[in-house]
Amino acid sequence: MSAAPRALSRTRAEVAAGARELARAWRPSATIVAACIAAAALVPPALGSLVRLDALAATLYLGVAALGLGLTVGRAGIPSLAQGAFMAIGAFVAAAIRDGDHASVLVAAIAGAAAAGAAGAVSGAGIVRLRPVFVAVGTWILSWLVAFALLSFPSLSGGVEGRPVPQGELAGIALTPRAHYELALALVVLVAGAVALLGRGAFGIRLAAARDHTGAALALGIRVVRLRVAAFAVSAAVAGLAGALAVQLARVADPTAYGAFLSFQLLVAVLLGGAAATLGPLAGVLALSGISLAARVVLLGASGERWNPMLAALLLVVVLSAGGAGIVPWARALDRRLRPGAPRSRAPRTPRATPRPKPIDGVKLEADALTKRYGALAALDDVSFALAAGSVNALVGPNGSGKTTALRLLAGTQRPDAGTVLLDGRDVTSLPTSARVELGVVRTLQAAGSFRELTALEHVLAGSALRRGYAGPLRTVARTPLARTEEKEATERALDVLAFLGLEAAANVRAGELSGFEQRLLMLAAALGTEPRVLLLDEPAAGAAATDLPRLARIVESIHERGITILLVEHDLRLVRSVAARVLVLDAGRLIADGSPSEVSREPAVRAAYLGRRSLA
Amino acid sequence: MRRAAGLALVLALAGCGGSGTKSSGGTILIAVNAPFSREPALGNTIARGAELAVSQVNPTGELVVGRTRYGLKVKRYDNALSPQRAVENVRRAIADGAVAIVDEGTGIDASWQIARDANVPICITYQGGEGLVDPAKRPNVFRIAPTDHGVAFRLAEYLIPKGLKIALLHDDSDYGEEGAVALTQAFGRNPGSVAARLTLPSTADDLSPQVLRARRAHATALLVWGRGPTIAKVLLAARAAGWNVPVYTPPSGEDPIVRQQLADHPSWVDGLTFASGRMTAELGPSAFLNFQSLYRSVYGASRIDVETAAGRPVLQPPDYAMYSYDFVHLLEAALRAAGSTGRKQVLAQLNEVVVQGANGDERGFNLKSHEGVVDDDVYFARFRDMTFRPVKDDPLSSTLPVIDQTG
Amino acid sequence: MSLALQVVVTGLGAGGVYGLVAIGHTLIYRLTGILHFALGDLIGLGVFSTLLVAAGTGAVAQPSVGASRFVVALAVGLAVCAAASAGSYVYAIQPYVTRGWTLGWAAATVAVAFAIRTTLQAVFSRSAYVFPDPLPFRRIGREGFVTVAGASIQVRTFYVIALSIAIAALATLTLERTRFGRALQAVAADAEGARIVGIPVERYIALAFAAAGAVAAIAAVAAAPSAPFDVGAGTLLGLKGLVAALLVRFGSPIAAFAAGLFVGVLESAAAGLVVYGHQLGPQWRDVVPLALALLLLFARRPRFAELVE
Repeated sequence: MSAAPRALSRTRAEVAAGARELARAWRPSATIVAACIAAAALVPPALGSLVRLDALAATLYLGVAALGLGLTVGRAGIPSLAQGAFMAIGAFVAAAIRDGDHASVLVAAIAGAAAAGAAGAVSGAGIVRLRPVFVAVGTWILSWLVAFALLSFPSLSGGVEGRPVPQGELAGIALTPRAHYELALALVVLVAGAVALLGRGAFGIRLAAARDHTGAALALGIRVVRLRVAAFAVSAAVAGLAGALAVQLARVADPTAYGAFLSFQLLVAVLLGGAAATLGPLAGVLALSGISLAARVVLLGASGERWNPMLAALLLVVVLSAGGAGIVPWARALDRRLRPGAPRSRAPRTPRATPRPKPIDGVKLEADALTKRYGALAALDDVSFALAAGSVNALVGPNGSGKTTALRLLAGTQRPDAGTVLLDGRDVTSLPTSARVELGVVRTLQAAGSFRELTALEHVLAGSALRRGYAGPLRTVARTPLARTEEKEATERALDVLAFLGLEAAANVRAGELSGFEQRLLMLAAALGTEPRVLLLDEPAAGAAATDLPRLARIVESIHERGITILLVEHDLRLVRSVAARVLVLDAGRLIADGSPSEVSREPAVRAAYLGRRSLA
Repeated sequence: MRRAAGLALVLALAGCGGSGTKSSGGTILIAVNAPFSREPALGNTIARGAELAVSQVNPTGELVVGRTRYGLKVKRYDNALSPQRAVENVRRAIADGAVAIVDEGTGIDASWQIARDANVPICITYQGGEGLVDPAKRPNVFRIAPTDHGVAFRLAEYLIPKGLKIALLHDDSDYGEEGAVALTQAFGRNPGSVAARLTLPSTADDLSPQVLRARRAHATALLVWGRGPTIAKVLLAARAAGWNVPVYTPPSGEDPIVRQQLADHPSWVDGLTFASGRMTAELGPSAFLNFQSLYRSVYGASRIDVETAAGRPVLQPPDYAMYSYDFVHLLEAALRAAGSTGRKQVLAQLNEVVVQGANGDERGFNLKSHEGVVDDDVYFARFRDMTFRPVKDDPLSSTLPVIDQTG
Repeated sequence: MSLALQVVVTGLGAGGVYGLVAIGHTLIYRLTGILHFALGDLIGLGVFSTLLVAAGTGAVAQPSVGASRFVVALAVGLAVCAAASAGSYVYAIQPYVTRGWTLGWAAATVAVAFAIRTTLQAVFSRSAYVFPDPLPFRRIGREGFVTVAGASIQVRTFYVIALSIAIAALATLTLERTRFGRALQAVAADAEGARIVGIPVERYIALAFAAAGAVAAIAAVAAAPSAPFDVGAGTLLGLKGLVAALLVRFGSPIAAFAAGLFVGVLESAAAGLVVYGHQLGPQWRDVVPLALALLLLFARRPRFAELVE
């Protein structure tokens, strides 16, 4: 008896909390969007006979499919030319199920979405691993394959008459074009919301990281392939849903309507509206339809429909040559130019006095007889060393001596030809990078570059994603209480990390707008986000100005104070001397010295390696 | 003759209506839903037939229904051979206020219900597929065109007594697939006369492998059910191999592209026999010839860029224009009989009225049959010297006159 | 036996054209690292331009074109195709390749393809066209057909095969013996190095694009009179050529040509293949090569094995 009122009061509290959060997060653009939705919903009663509701509903369904494509093209960076094929799969599965009115529209829609999602998962598994040029070709061939299969198999597609779809109803309401319009509008809002939430959550952040710098994302333990397949499958399922409902509206599944042009049209819409913005694809679809309509009315007359592909092609060329950003980003840039003083985004929280340091147990990392050969050349030859728990070590040596190879072997990016890597006594040689990051071994990369489009905060969140248990796509979209709490905690911890590195003020600034050194610090922040116990830093001072070096040294010291085991690959010997307790020297793949900085600098072999043998003759 | 009758009617009506005032009721819209962009020859033929009839019905520019004057107008909607576009066009036509729709036939399985909900009659004037027309279930769908079923049965009726072993070839277009179904039914009871059944890929350039297979099956005749280009390719393949087998086709054999593709080898077209709806009346060719000259006076002669042996250009007779022409006349009669433009009344009257068709025959529908062309009203014509004439070895065809096709 | 011969020769005839398109795709891939989605439509543009000059857009029957007019028409068609191909490189591909933006060139080339197709469809609105035949093949054999081992074959098919092989051989020779060809090989191996050495990289690549289009267009024009064709024929050619090039992973021109022949024969035979006692039927013609290409793509080594930072 008491459970019900308690559950009720908790629900009330949650709803109130959600409303407060919504109010806090409200922005002017949200008001505009809400007003547009309300206006759109009122179109049928207000303008009912003046507009063609079936054409509008069809456009909105196309918008739903485009929103799905935005996730793949924008967030994941996969150049997919096959979205129309997934719409076709959804449409024909739904039409087949609705045959004879044996099954309801809801069942058909879910089946269509599921079939398309499955097709997306299967084809995605093959495609996302490929280089971008082959991703484009693969999806192009897929869309033609589906188009031909539909045309070649009249038993699937119903031939020239297509597959007629009987009138349906949803929740007791007959699905007239007017009902379809409202349904499509609701679906657009839902899908846009879901895509936005996915994009901003851990799922989207990791996808964007993988898009911006795949190698670095892999080094952070992000399972890039898995995420991309998931994104591909999700967007395919959305396309399938849109196709299933659109075919119910059109009352016939027509194989000729699902050719390669549909995929192209959706791609143009995404690029036109802006792949980077959540609502961009929708804006693109509306713009494309509006411009086609205007062109038909003004210039081309009744037969103007056949010029649609040309119009789409022209619009694409215009967008591409103007930089490719799209309508929504342009509008935002314009807004920023017109109102420069307006606060752009949520201000970071008031800084706490001192960030709470999290106690870490550093661990011992050992390399035992590591060997790596490239053909006849031995990059590493029988190298063994042990890094004490919580120590700061440096790995130095002339260029080409195998330092980066050593780090790669320790981190799991490459497998050694011989030898083992032991973490806290456990043999981890056969474990891939993602497993090692989970165990606490992470490295930063030598090459410069960060996740350009992610904010500083998102860098850390990209790293910390693997430590979270409630950040899966479903929970993110459903905004369960557990997920929200965890997200808040993760954000707090991420801000701590940024404060630790002195970057807290830049929390909501995109990495591309920061200096080169700050970007390298961001990659370090991302690595720290994974809560490592061993940190492998590959030339963190590369390209840094002399004035940045003390700051870097202080940071390394602070990390050391936390108890993390550090191995630093560095050329800058001042930095090495100031932070490292122990120095390992590599030359031509062999370990030639191992000791404190002063001991090592006195070794003749080391000086010979650095200065060349002749000078010591 | 008809023109005079029409004029007299109008004058009579003008005289009758002199006492009361006639109000102007606006425009009656007739929609033509056809593939204007993908097959403009077909689309134009259908639309021109309707437009010709409209210009005939109201030479004064208006139609008097009951006590109101209306203007009649034809509006074209392009379906680009796509069922989805066809359905959209039907929706748009109804929104534009169309009183009837003349349709090529694409997408009828989906669009008929939408028209039925608005009580708008649809008349198919090209596609002959089975199941498109069903007076009980689809009371607003009519057809004036030869049916696949009728053509297939007549072909069987014509060919089987000849004792031929026929190879049934059909292409993988929808026209071909529907024809295959009709042929299976028609030849079902005489499996002995079927030597082989083969499917022809419509995207293949060269059909020699399939023709060779038919030859290997000891066929002594080929029945090719496919669109024009397929028929041309089969003829090419067979004749080039030196196989002078007789070839029979449905109405698509009349497609000018067959003759255009084989213009280099006129002798290969000789002997090609096709089945089609009867162009002329049982009473005589004068009605059709009048229609043809009327059509040509407005739209000019349709040259197909092929010449006879004597060097005369070959012209295509406007046979498919007759069907839409006849439907518009039926519609006009139904409107007058109903006395109003109320859709339910017009639909009811369409089942009652009878008019004289362009070729001189009577055309009309009733509650049991919505086919304007009687199933077995199919004749056979054979090509010789790039023009066709009715065959002599079929009872119906042998009674028909030869229509001159040279310019 | 005669049936198999029929299938093979028919397939080789179509395959010759596919092979030249495959060479074009390979050349373009090797030079720029991209795949040209509009190559087929560019070839179609060339073929239809030839048709336009030779016989206009009205109804056409084969004997109605004189030889001199046809030569002019062919020249115009090839010029249009070459210019459009080079233009597509300069405006639709090169700006995005330098930026490394895959979506840019992919979307742009697809846009070019659709733009060409729409224009052709507007001008040539009928569903099938008959191409004029300038060469007097009908005088050979029985009205242009010969019987070989019981199989009846168009003389034109042999001509197309021979022409395709000749052009392929010419292309290979050009790549290996001429300065231009060797310069292209240098660009393919290392564009930056080639630029340093003084090769005008962009200009040469544009010329290569023009050649790729024109060369395949010649063969397409040679094959066109065999049967009625429509506006979509160019797109299909491009696809099949792409499939062939993929099959041999963009290897040498000879390999690409052979792959094209293979695709042609595969297509021709797919209709008659018997699998598990069931004849496949003609529907599989178009689907089989595409499915094969997709499967081969999936089987490629994962990218990340090559990507080590």
